Amino acid sequence: MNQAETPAIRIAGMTVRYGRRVAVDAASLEVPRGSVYALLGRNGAGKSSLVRCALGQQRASSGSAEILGQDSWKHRTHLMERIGVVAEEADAPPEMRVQQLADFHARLYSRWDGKAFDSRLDRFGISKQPRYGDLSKGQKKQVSLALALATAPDLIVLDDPTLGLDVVARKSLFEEVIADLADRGTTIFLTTHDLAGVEAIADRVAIMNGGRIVLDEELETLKARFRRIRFSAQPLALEAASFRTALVRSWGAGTEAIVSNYDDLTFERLRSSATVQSADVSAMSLEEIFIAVAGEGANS
Amino acid sequence: MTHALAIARRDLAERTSVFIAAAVLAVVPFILTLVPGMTSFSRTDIITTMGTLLAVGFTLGLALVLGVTMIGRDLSEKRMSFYFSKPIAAPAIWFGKLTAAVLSLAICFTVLFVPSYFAGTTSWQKSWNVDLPIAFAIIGTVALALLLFGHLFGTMFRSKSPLVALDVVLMVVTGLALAGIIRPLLEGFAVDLTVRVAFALGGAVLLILLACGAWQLSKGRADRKQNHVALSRFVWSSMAIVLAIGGAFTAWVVSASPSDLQKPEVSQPDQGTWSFIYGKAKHRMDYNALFAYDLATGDSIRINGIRSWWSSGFSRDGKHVVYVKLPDFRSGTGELYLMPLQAGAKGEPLHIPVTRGGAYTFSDDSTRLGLIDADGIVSVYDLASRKALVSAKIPMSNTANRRRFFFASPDVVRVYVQTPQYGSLKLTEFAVEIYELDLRTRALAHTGTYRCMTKNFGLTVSNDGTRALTVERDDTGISHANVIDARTGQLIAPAPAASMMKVTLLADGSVAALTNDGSDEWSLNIHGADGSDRTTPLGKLQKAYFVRQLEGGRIVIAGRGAKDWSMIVADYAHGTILRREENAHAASFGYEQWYGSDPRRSVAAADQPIAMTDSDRALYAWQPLTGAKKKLLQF
Repeated sequence: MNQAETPAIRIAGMTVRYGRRVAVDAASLEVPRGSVYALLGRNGAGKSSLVRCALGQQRASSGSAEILGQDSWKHRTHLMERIGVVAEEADAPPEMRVQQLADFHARLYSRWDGKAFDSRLDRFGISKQPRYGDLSKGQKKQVSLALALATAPDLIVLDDPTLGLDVVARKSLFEEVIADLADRGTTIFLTTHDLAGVEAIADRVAIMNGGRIVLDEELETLKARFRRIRFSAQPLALEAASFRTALVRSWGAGTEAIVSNYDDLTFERLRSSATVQSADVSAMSLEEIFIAVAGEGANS
Repeated sequence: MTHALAIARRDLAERTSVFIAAAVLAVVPFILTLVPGMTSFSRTDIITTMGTLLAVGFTLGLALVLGVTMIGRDLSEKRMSFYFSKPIAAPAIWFGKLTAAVLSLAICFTVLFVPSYFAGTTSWQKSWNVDLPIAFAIIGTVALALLLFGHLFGTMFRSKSPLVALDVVLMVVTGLALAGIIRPLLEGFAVDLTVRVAFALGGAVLLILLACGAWQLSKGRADRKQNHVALSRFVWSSMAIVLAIGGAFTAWVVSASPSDLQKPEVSQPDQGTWSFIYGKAKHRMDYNALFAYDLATGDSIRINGIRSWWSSGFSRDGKHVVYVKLPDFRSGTGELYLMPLQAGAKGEPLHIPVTRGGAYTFSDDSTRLGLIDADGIVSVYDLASRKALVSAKIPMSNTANRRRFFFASPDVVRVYVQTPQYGSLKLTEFAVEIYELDLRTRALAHTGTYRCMTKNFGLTVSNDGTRALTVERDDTGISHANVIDARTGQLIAPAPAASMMKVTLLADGSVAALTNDGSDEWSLNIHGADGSDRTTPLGKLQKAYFVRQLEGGRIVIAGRGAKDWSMIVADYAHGTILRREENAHAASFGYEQWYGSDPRRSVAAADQPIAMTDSDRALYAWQPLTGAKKKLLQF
């Protein structure tokens, strides 16, 4: 496998335990180079633990993680030259001024682009004088993002980058920054709760639930196979039509179901069955799919 | 290196407020001189004293705070990921932060100390009486230790992991192990060696603490608990290695055998074949080892934990010894052990608490043990039952220069106590008070007093306890000797004037003296209790002293000829020399007769070996009658 074919991130059988609690349970995933990969999951699903282990910041209990073809635990120092990271929680020293943070990064990265940092900061409307600790939560994220992007990374890892951002900043992040990076071929790996934002830009999504990767595929494929079906019959009709259900509940006198293996032919078979008088199908947003897969009522 | 410096620079920039605080504090000593009430003190003394106290206090306090926070705070506040998401190696993070902390301490100390020091250099030297480089070295070492221990404890306790309980247990174990390494060295009087070992151990601990941060961050990275686990593993496994090396070294030091002694001294009792041999051991600096050693067989028993060989006593028959074991090096009280003198024997605790300066004597049948402690309390114990039979306080004994005692009979202990005569205007006048403690009546009786002119006083008593020989050396250095009644102290007759080593009382109460007539011709003179005088010529000698009285009217004398020492066996009953062993010197100096607990002279069996050395630095067991020599040790 040549370098271009090597995934930007490859995680294999990773398990992370905190005492008896299993935060990540035998997770495996691959992030293709040049893709925008979104890892979705509820709070406590294990996303941040997986990210920290993937970045070599924390040792997994078992399993392995490779970034750009190299073991991220062993080669972290070398790899970080090519990776920009925006952590979930603002981790820069609060006493440092924004300018000092930029100077500090300039000493560490050979590919540091001070002008790019300045212009991005201007766009965010943040001065370089304030101390990092005095910035708002959203501004901290923006500074962290500007710092990460100014290192001209091959891979950028964003752990919940929209947390604390207002609607405008959130939109700007997804539509301008990430889309721009994606256009330039930078691999983007992000975890987020902002499903609407990510829906427009993600090439591939994975969903974590209870520490396990329960879903990992191309966004388009995912959206194509998930549908909401409402019909005037008992749920038994779904089985007869060979639909796999992610969620089933009663809907008036009939049934509403979210199916994960939708295709038109099967739907026609359902609609034409003797017990079904009427049936409708509708497409689902990523958020709806997420709730179906990782929500309270989701089938395991 | 560049990255470490970048981290150091970042941390230093963060501490501007600390440096400003130090600068503000540096002014305080100068302001204090203006405070009403302080004007009565020297202005420079106030500035230098307060400046130094502030500099040291601030620096050490800051060292502890920086130690606790430099890594621990970032970990507990989940900010260590900031560094680990950058291309910075873990050692660079640690050493960068450590460099910044050390520089911060140096800057603060300088800011606080320098102005006050230069305000009164002479005053500072007078007040603190220490060389500046030494003071800096001490403060620097303490500050570094506080910084590193602060980091250690900060990481452990901030992790909020149950592992901290194991750390505490291991800390206690480490402390005990360190004490276990150091204590045996101190028990061997090895002060210099102990200091070096302590420095080596301290240095090793500092190195471990210097390296542990790099290891901790390499293995634990941004995770608080994994940092704690990595730190604990590194520290305790490294510490185990250091303790194992230290323990092995101490074990090697204390494993010294009699053949390891460099220049052994021998303390040989009048009876039996066992002696104490002791001295500095080879390649062990100032470590002293002590052994009970059988001259007949070469068997030895190592005696550990003993404060000193003079805190010991042989039984009259030479078959037992008692000695003191102190619980620690500085303790004033310890426990008495009884050991039979035979190969493979072990000391048995008597469960009798004793003071460090105590003395011990056995009854002639070795069934009872007399003790006299530093406060002058005499006690007698039954060795079979370990029970105290009687105890009494000797008046004025706590100010005594010397205490000697023995069992005058199985039920009577006689005590000689030399005390200064505070009632006398003449401060140089001393008295030997004589007491008898009767076990049957439990009464202490004062039986007599002997007045002596000087503190330099020797006393030896005949085997039957009736007559005593006193030797005093006056202020002009001239010795005087008298024969006195051993119970009452009454003068019986003056004895030939000679120094302590040249006059002795024989077991039958006769006085033996080694004299020369002003030339180098020496003779042995025996002044019998019945008034008879006998002389045995010894030949040309430069020096001579008594070694031992043998049964059959024989006496062993050490004499130094023109070249070497020789051992002379004289038959004083017949006035002849039986044997002259050239190139031979008594290994035991023989001063026990004057300084041991039991002042009585006894007669050695003729076949008992005498410890002897020669010019080739070998120790022999020498049979005085046959001249047979058995080489025991080569030094």
